[in-house]
Amino acid sequence: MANGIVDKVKEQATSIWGKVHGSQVAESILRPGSPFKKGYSDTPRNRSYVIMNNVLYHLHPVKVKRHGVRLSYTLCLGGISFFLFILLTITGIFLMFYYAPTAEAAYVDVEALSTSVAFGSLVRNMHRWGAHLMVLSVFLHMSRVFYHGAYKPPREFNWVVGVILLLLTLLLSFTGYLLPWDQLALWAVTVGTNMAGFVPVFGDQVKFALLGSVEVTGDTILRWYVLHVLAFPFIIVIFMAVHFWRVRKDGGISGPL
Amino acid sequence: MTHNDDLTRRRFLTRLWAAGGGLMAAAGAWTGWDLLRPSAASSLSAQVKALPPQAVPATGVVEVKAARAYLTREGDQVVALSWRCPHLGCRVPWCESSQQFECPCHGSLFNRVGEFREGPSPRNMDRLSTTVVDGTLVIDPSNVTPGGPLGPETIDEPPAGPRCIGEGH
Repeated sequence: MANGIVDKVKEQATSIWGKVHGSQVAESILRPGSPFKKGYSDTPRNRSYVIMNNVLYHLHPVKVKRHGVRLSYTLCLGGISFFLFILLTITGIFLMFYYAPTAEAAYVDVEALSTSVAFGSLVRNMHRWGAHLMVLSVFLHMSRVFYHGAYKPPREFNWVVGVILLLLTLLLSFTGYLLPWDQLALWAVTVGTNMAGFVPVFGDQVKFALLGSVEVTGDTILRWYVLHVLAFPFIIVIFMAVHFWRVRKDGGISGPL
Repeated sequence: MTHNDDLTRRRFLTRLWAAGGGLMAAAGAWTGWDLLRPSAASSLSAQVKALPPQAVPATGVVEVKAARAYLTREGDQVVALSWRCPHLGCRVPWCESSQQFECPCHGSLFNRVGEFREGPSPRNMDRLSTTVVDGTLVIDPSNVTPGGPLGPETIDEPPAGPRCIGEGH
């Protein structure tokens, strides 16, 4: 009796699965070669399709050289930098809910965030330490590439893209520096914008536009906030996409000679 | 077909598109710059009324926050010293205990009339122009005279006590 019910349920489930699996909806979602597709067979062609036709895998090459997966060669420093960027994006979005970029609110908001918001202190510190670590990991990644000579042809252009990424990392770091609006932030940015003022020819204009005033004020926080949460992340994502794409196109991760 | 082989219709249209694109880019850059450039209203006020010159003591300084300046006496003259450090622009506060200006950012020190003592500052403290209108001193914060070159101090007022900023900057 019990067996009969189980069999019936099994039969029903198989029939529903069959309808869903072969349906137009499933067919439209799954691209050729997907292992979830009805009638998938494990052939070399389908294995390639899995990589080429998947939104998450398409950046990866169909085949990876054995040395490319050896962790001890690259130490995954670029990967760690990317991971930290993702971490900073997610924690940054959370922080945005509790922070207003005005001279009156900024300092109080950061204080409230670290004292009276659940897990606020944790998220803020993840963002803060993640930013420090990202500068460090980008620097170490650059050193690794340099000491392995991985900047040599055909990878020269990707080195250039990497230098731009380093610059953007530092700019993101520095624009975030002002946002807590404490004494350290205020004077660090005073010093930083004064240095920008030494740019030849356009120095004064650059400084004026960065500050939004003649000294660090509430206008400066708003400007740097917009740069920090919108402009620089947008630009860095574009350059990261090119960077990763060129790693693959220039012959994959460079290996020991 | 045109007789001019150099300028085909296709090449002409390509150039037209490029010129249009360039024009749009220039207009965008101009608009963007004008939008982001701060208005003149965000600068400091042009004239700051301070106090009668007689009220500035013979030793010590008077802070005038609105002008971002300190007033002090140099002989019979009252001078306004800009509190922006000539090094990298931090505020240089007056230290009561040592009777000198001490920059907390990188440790530049100046005597009471803004003359360099030590640190990374490239020159003496900058001065703001002052006028006396109806017996009241008026400071113009926009009229800055860069401080003179480093040299021996002209007043004999050595540091009077412990510094306000930590050592080893």
